[in-house]
Amino acid sequence: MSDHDLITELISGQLSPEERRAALMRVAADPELQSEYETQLTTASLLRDAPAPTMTATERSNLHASLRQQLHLDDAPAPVAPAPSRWSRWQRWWAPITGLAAAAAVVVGAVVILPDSGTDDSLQFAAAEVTSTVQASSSDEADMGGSADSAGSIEEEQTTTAASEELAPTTAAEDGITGTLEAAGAASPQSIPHVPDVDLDQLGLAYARGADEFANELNKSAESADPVESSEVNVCLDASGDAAGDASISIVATATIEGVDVVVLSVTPTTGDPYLVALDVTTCRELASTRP
Amino acid sequence: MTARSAEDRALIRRYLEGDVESFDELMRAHEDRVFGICLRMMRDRDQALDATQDVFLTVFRKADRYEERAAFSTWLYRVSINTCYDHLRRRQRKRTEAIPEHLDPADPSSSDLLNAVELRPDIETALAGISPEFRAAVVLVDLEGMSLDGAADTLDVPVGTVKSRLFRARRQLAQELGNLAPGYEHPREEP
Repeated sequence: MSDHDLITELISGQLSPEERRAALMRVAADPELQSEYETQLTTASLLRDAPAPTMTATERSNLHASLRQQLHLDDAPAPVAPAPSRWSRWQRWWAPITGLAAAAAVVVGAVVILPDSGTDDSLQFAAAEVTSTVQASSSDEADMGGSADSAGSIEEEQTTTAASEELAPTTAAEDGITGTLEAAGAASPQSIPHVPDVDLDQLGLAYARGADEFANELNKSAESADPVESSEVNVCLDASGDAAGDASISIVATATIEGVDVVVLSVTPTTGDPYLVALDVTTCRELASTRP
Repeated sequence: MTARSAEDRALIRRYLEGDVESFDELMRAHEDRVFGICLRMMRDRDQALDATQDVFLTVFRKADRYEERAAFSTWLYRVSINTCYDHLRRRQRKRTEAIPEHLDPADPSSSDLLNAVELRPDIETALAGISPEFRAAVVLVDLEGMSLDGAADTLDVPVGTVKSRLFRARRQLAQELGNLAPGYEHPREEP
């Protein structure tokens, strides 16, 4: 055994009494080894005497509440479905997206209708309609496993597009988002491209330049083979919800950044330039973005 | 198998079957230790809380992948260390100036820091000066009281690597702390 290992094992307290006695004799016979041993023992003792840190009651409570919410423990009958299929994982990702599209459609509809009616009653009615429609949409999608092709969602997405065109002309970047939404909505979610080792800045630049350039950049760097399998997408409802607080969002790709599986979302805020966000699919945390 | 280990496995099975109460029991059993590891590794209370949350999110989301050949705690603490490495890498990337971590020690005069880490400021500063890999060995063995074998399992490295990291980490800490024993001048290097 080397001198270093001897000292480490002596300090670890894992030697038998005989081994410990022999080790101490060896240390005592060598002043340099003795000095090293004393130095290491003092340092280890300092660390071992440190009190164990604990969370405060508030921190503990917040942690539990946040985990319960993110794991959907209070509303799901079974917190973890054993071996979910790729398809169902993907569908769960799509549920909030289609729900948000539905919400946006109703909000836009209300904005278009209200100026004509212009009474307090109509305001209340419109607000009630927004709430009930969003709840119905979310509930339907939850029951249906977040199916992206429910008739209601398709109708509402169409309403969104039509209403938006009336309100304001779309920019090149918005065209990109609309195009992506249409492609994603029309095709199977499994057609979302996977970009290994994505250069998010490069992709973001292309995104800002418009739909064609973005599509070209995606085609150039995307891998067509089995994108969902390679990205292991998990549920990140809260993360996508944060991004969509005042913005419309859409999944544009799955990808890897430095070996970490991510999902790339396009975000179009109500004010400011659109950008891309990459969320770690395991933790749902933002890993990178092209946010201005 | 220890009683704790057997209980953890039973709780994980119950959780996978949809028993939400088992979540609370698993949290109660392990949250302080996970938080302790994260706090020692991250050296920032808010970031340690974030890391702790990520650890448990990962563990509960991937509970169906837990293989019962290893103790649940070993898996949990491995996820903890890896999550901290991940957060430290991200923190490093986010810094506007590329300052090496060992040149950016915590401010020992900060009372917030004292409250946050509950370590002597000089020890905290010394810990900040060693690499995350060395720090992980010290955190698991010296601060969390794990055995050398347990630390090797958790870090997924040979036990010899743990011994080597521990030895070198303690030596660096002693030098940082001015804690060298009399007669300690030129440490003997081994191949």
